[in-house]
Amino acid sequence: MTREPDPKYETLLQELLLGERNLDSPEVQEMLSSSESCRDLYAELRELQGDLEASGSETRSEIDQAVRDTVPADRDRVAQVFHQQSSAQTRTASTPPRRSGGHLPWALAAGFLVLAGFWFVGRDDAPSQAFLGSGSIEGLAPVGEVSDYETFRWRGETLASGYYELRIRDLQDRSRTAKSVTPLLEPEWTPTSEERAALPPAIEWEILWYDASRELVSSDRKSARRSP
Amino acid sequence: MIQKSTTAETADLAARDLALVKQVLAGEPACVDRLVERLQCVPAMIRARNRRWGQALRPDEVEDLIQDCLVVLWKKLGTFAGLSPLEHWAHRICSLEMMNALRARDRHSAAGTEVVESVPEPCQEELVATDRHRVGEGLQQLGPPAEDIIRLKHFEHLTFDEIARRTGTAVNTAKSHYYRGLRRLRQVLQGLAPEEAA
Repeated sequence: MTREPDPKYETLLQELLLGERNLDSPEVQEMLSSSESCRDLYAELRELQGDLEASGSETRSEIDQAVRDTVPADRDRVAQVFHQQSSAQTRTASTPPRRSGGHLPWALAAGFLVLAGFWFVGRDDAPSQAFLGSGSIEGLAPVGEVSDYETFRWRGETLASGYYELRIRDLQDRSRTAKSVTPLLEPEWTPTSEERAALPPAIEWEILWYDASRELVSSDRKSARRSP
Repeated sequence: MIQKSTTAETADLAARDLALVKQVLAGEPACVDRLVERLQCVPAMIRARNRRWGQALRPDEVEDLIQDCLVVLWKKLGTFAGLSPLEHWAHRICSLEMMNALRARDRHSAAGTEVVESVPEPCQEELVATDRHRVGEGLQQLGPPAEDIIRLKHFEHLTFDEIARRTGTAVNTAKSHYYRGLRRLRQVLQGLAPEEAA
């Protein structure tokens, strides 16, 4: 451990480390030759500056490399999380404060909206997304322990625009996508017997719903495993 | 995408990033997609760091960490001050989260609740990475303003005039924070109690 330097040299030491003084200036030479603690501290702080430079260089190269190594699936994943968080934030922000009494007008308005929703969805020209209402998607099957992966199903309807993408990963190694199926228009997909056999014993499956402009609307993940 | 750029361009990018973050926080949905474009490198960033650390985390742990980091980044958007580009800010947070994940895993295995496969001895490159990691960890213990100023000096190669402009402080104050921060960092790394806050 280095002793604290003589206070009279603090300013000089600071200037030296900031590059405002040269090592060969007479004042610096006098300080380094007369004060062992200053000499040791200067050496330690210079080494630390070198470590910081190396750490900064490593960070920059890591970021540059990451930008180059980014794959489309990474973008989808980031989009999924950020859009989910954004929706949750919006829902929280728009939730009205609880008030006592005066519920009747709200109940009437809600009832009217529900009826209007049924009427709207029932129309032939209603856009498919109206079925999903809140803009969320939900995986239905397979979930948990199953005898085999028969049909993958999710809450949704046949899409007139946009598409679904189903990604199946090995639950033991989620970085490995075992199967990816896209574009799907129906809210289900049934693997062939060969495809079923090729799937890992335990899986995490993710269903992603994209609109016509290929923007991620919603997604959900579920896991399942074959019973032994 | 981060390119080799001048400090003026980097400053401009950081300022535009701050404007973007403010728009996202104000609830402008279109801006979320722009944020996604900027931070889509986060999963690759975490995978790269894990590789540099000799695959310290298993693939499934890396996947969980990526998920956690993305949520943390979103929740911490309000702390982004626009001192450096978004990718650098994200890198700092992800490094901290990875450190926490490793600590949590170590605690978990020390408590005997999980059988962990034996970890191979670190190679020389990993030891060097560990030293640099300690520097990053020490910096985080400093906190602002010393941490920010030291990072701007060594991670972004800014002059003290540029640091003063970016942080809105006087040049001499920035220099003083830097010097005192360096001394505190040395003590932190030596495992000593830091001096009084700068």
